[in-house]
Amino acid sequence: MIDTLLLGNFVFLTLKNAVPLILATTGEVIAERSGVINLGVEGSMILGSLVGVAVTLISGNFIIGFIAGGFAGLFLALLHGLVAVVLGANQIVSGIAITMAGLGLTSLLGRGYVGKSLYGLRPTPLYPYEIPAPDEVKPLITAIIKHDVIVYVSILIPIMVALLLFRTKLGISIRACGESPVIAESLGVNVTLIRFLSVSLGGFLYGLGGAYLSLGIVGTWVDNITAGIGWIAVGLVAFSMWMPIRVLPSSYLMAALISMSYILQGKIGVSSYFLSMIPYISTVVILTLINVERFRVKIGAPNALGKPYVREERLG
Amino acid sequence: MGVNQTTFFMKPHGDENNYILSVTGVSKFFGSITALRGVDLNIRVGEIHALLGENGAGKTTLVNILYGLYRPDAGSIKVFGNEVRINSPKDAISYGIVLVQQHPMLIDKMTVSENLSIGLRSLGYLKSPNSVKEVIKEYSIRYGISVDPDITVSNLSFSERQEVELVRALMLNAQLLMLDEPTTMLTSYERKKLFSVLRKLKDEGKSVLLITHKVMEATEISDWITVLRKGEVTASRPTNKYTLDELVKLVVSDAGVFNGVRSVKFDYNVVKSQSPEVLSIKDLIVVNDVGGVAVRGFSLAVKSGEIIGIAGVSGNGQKELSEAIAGLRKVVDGRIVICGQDLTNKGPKDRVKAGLAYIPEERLKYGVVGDMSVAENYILKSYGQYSGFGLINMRKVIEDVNESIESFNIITRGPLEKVKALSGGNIQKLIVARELRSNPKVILAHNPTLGLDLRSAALVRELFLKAKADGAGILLISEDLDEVITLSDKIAVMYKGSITYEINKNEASRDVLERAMLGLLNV
Repeated sequence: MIDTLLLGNFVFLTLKNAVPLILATTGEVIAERSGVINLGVEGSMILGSLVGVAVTLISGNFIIGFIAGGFAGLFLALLHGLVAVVLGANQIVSGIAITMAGLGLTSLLGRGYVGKSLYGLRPTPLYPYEIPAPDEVKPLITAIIKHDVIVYVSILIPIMVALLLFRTKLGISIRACGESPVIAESLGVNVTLIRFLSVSLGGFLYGLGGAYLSLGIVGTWVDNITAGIGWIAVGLVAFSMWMPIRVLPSSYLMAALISMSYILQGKIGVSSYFLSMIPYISTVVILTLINVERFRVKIGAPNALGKPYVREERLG
Repeated sequence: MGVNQTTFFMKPHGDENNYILSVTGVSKFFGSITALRGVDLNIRVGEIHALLGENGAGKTTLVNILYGLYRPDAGSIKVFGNEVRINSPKDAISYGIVLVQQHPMLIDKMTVSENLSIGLRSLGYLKSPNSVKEVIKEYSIRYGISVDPDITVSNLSFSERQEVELVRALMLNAQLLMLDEPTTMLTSYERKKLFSVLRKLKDEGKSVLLITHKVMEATEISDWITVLRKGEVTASRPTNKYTLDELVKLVVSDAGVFNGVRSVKFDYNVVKSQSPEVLSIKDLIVVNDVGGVAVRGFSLAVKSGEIIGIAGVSGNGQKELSEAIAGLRKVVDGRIVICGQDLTNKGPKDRVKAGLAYIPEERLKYGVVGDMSVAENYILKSYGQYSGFGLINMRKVIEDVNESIESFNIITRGPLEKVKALSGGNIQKLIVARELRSNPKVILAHNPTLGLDLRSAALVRELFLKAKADGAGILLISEDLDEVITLSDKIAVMYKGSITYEINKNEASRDVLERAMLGLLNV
């Protein structure tokens, strides 16, 4: 027999835990589609997380805090855009530096916020009432219905990004920059601008994801709150084959793994450390599989991914 | 851009200065190298103008200046008599000047309509690319081009890609269409088709600048020819005011050398039947990047001292075949034997050891490392013989490289120049020099003279004949049918992944071969 309460709990957690992953992964898809790999996801997320808590406390409105978190993520991504896109520095180095900066900065600035209560300020379920349903299915239905607005909006984001990338001229320009900046430039596309824009948009989404983590999931600020979620998002981009729509199933799968590790803690005689390794181990497995040559040809990574583009006088 | 673009096109045609484009005294220097010196070029409305010159004569540099990719160091550019500054392709396009580059500027993974939406100003930023489909169809019908807007570019042949480029130029409202070596990879049928489109454009009052190194081509289609040699204009007059001999002399900077190469009597020794097989391919099956069967049941043997030519239209499995032989692509089934060793699934290094030299089609991708110097590229395969105690003796390397630079007539600033700064023809000469110096037993050459001027091509061909006389077996895969016919002892036609037609050199007929290449032959 399946324990319906446990199952309901699991589904509820999975839907919630998927939100930061969906937002951050979708953001990274945009950046990588334009040819820029941004390893600053973790840094942008954690800054968004802290700023989200701080602004919510000041303004008294979680929506304002959530959006502010997005802008905090965007701020760090702008640095990446400046260094890696405009100045053409190594994208990997710049991204890691930004993650380090985000982690350090939040440790320092977040001291006063650790454990501060957001009582009455956290996102509340859209439908706060009792759900009339038979006892067998009630926990499951509750788990799906009783979420705040952001959980449902986050499902729309990848769909909107898919439309942007595949159904608009701006999206085609973004993809052209990711496939061949030389061709894009010769056709009159401002590669630097488009890449900068994509990185910024990505950063905004990382920040939103981070803000939801503190506001919606944890409910307060703690040091190192992201604990690797940003890195998982980077891995999920490849797992989603750079397709925004596929970000949804892959994020839910990963969120399910994470939620399972919470739920199984204390239920079975396995160390909690081992369980919290699940997401990272699965990221490694996914990345290994995906980097097997035969798969890689088929999954379609952007050709110019990670290659800086600086307009040259002599093109060779 | 202070000048409104519409006023440009409304100038009356009877204007005395009826030049759509007028270039005066343009010079361009790359460091100490003079690429262009005081070049004048005048293109009239409704004219097909040929810019004729060898590789390295400065044609591409001039075109890049006109397209805003380089900035001239001196001189002026006028569009309809108004002086303009062209700082980017965007500027050029706004003046109605559009370049169709030698390698189609298309993104393989995108569809035709997506490709044609990139940078299209008339399309709003958030508007769907679907709206360009109608326009594509309209132009296709008008100019007799067949372009399917929904097909992914990777499925198109070279000439189809070029047609897509032409449609793009028209969509950008091109008044002056510049084509950089457009016929290099076309069959004669495809070339005729292209020329008929160009004539149609001319009839509509558009101008065409055809950049070419082929004398015959320039005389065939153009109204006016400007000859460029070593960065300077040597002649510019109506096409019918030239004689062919005169043109050749004007184009080739050192006519004596050219004649010397050309007059070499090729020695077509009949290959002795007991010559050993150096390369044998049996029932080879190879798949392409997307998993389709590209080479199906291909069998062939090359003997020492013979050249076997494989003719065919690009995209019939030649790329996959040559990569499989070179060890760059996995073989699904079949065998590859080089000098008696079965190397079917061995890597490139073992094949080199067995005596294989590979002259790849994609020079910059597989032939050289662009960011390394001429000298470093030269010893990529043989650095072992220059090292002592693990260190490379650069002095010895540079001596040898200088010798090759001279004997192969490679135009470069020196052995330490980065290879990517060389022109395509000179890179190819460098690769051939490197590959042939080890006295290989088997030479695999894929489009070895593609994009090379007459003299460089003749030099490369002569080197092949020399290698052949020294006992090498050569497999020549080429889209240039004339080259295959001239060089090969035996000719095979590759169509859809296998050999559909085989013939000895002296029995070959060009007409039959061309039909076989297009799959029109009932075997």
